[in-house]
Amino acid sequence: MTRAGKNTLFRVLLIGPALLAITVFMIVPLGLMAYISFRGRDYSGGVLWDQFSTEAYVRLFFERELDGTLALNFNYMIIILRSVWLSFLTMVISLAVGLPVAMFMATRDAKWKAVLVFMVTLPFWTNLLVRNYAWILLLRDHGTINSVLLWLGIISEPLPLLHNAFAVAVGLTYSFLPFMVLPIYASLEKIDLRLVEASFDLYANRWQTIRRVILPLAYPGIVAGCVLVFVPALGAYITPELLGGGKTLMIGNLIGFQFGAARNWPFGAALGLFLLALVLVSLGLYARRYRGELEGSQ
Amino acid sequence: MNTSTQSDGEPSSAQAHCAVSVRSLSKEFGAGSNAFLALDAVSVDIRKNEFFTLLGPSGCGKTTLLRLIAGFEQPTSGSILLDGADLSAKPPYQRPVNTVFQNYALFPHMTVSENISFGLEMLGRPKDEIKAVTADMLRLVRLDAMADRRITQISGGQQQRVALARALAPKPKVLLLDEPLSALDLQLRKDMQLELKRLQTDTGITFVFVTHDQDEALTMSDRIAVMDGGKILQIGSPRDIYDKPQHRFVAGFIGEINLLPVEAMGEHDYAIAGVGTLRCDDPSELRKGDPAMLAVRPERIVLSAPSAGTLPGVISNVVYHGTDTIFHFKLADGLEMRARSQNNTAQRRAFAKGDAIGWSVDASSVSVLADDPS
Amino acid sequence: MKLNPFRSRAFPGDARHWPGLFTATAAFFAYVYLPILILIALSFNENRTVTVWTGFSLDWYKMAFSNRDIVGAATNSLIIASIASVTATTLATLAALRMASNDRFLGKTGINAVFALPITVPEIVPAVATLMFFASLGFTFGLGTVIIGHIVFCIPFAYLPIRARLEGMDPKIGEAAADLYANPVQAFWRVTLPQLVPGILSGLVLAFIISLDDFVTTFFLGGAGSTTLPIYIFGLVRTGVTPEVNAISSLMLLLSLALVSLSLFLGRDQNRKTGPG
Repeated sequence: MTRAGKNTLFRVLLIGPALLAITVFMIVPLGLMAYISFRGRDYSGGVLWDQFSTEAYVRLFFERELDGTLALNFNYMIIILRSVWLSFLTMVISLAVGLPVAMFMATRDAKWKAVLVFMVTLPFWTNLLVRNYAWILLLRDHGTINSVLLWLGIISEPLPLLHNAFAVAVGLTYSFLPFMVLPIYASLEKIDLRLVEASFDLYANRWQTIRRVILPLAYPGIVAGCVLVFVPALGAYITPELLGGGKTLMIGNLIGFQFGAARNWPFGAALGLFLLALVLVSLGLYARRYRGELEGSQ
Repeated sequence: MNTSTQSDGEPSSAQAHCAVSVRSLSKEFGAGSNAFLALDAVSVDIRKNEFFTLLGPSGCGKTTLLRLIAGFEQPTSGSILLDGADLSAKPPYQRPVNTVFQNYALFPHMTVSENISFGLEMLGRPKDEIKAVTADMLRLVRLDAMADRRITQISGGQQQRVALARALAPKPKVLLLDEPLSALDLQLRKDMQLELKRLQTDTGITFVFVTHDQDEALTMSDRIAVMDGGKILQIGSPRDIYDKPQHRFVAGFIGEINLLPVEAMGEHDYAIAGVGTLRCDDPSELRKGDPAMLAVRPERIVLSAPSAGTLPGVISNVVYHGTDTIFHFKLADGLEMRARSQNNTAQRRAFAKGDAIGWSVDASSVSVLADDPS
Repeated sequence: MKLNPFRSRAFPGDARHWPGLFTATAAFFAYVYLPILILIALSFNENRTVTVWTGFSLDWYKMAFSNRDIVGAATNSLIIASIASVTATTLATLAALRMASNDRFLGKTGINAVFALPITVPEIVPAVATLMFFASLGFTFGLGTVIIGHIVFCIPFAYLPIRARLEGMDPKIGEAAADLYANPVQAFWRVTLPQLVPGILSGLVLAFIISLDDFVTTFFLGGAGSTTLPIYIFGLVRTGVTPEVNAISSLMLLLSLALVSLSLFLGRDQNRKTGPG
């Protein structure tokens, strides 16, 4: 066998199995999902395989009356907008919290840095469901926060903290905050602290130094962090399920619902495709702008 | 320069004394518009049992030449003979040469003695031989006490010696050393220079040593090849290279030197416009009236009061350096020269800025730069 | 202020001592760790009302361990995580060995993108897509379908650290092996693989944790007899908070913490101290 032939065989044998697993059990199903989103649905919820239909997409915006006419329906739009809005809010809060933390971490000496990075990373690897459940204990009417506030006499009635957008925002921030801190830290960590001294030496005050020196240098990390928080928040399932109650659904829950009680696969598939597109567009925009750094960080 | 005149083919009697014979070797990296010629038709014969140094700035091609000999890179054209046999087709693991890497490249998951015995194991040597040679090597580099330490548990200087022992253990025909001392601090580097020289003498193995440090090259080598831009510019003993540089680059790369634009007068005489004439022992092929460039080391210039037999100059600056003093002086045409004078009692002279002086150089200390008539 | 161990000297140009950084970081870590600590503390509370502390008790743990459903769910979790992580790590290691070399070939970037896909898209999308895929093929939902789903999303978690470790290896080490007469096969077994083992184990443990903790994929691809601990907890939480849930949740947290510490310990860069650099 030729050298080139051997090389190709070697490559196929090594890379092939993993590539095949992801292709067959992920990419093909995603393709099938796209196909099903354009199929019809029978009255019991099954897929009409031989019927092309855009009904699933129409359903996103309209409701079909009994006589077949279309009426605008904002129910699903509200859920989608809420998902985007909550994800954006999560991103902004995470940025506000994450920036000073990353700054603090980046200015420690090597030993402390390692400890702090470990402490930030650790919660990410613990069970997401359990971490969200912990917030139920805190936010319930008889939960830790209300109990403490009542005991302190600050309030006389329990605050309604759980099962609303507030609870979801808290939970999402809690879930994805490390994704904001770590990339910002990574880009700040490379900054020579003497740059700050140089900036002060050149008559800049603290705010001017942050705005003119630190933020521009941390920018790639900030953008990466925003993408890494926004994308998973957009597709969140557990957090709104546990902390949002029935009234604060997000896209993820709406998708899940189509495969459970609602049983409408084409609609669920269309919603899934829509979420996938949202995510790929945000990632694509990011990758186009930051190709260099993206590859550098891999 | 030093291009071998024999054609490629049967080894001649001259090659019998060569450990490595490099034949018009070229190496090009990249392709198309990004192509970079790292080595440009280099030919050199490295003799048996010599300490041969490739000296040059970074990017001059010295490391590329070393990696081609080791087999880590394939040449674009040319050939490498080891003891007269062509190595080109052999992968690195079939070449009887070993390398000491710049950052040592020790196996981090093995102990000191496991690193040293690795090559012998791969060669399939008997167990007791491996054990005996490894013990010898540990003794040779004075690391007996560290045999079972992990690589991460020993100092940089000790790692350096493990790397040496590991490469020497299989008794290679040629040992290649790629800037092995560059990571050590100054004192350790000085010690290791002596140690390397001792090892080379003791083992009788041919050493090919790559460095950008002129001191290292001058103190350890039997012969030095000075490289620049993918070419070997000059090969010679440290004394030749230092005292008789043939190229402006060689002259400037090693130590300080004065360059004097002159005009050839006869076989040995050169005129400095408006100043006088200088004599050089080496014969030259220049004709009368040809422009030339002379090179003179600052410490070879003798300063005195102006007198017959000296050339005139005026002191423009005096810089004290502890062991010696540098006198800057100007010639009539404005050219500034430097003379180095040792601060010992016998030679100490007191010249001050503005003093008119006379200077002279022995004809044996003047060299003519071949490549640079301008 | 005295609590701040970093605020020894204050000079405005010294960014280490800027006001607010320490306070923000302390608040951040409180936000991150307090809920977890409160959950663990409450799991030892003897009171059934859960939120008010009345005394220390191990009753809820005893109850959890004697609950047959919980033990069954835990067994399922371990079976799924073991099979999925070992399979995914094997596939990922093979692929990483080839992908980490710095040669270029057609589709290399694309293949890397495919390997990252399962952690790039929100889990709910591939979960429901695979649900439709398996249903169309007439598969019976259960342990088998869950394991396949887990293998797919475990691959990147094993692949990325293993490839990173391979790429982080000093290429000179491979040259040194060849220089010392090791042929490519010997160099792989004697030099590359021993250095890679900690990275592989680290990737394996990460994949194991991710599989153990997974909810969404398990929820949509599961069927009769494939209830895992997260699914069980979810079921209980939806019906109400019980101290038993606190106990299992705490155990899951501690298990994850122990495993991730192990993984980071295994994956720490042992090569860093080699050489003078």
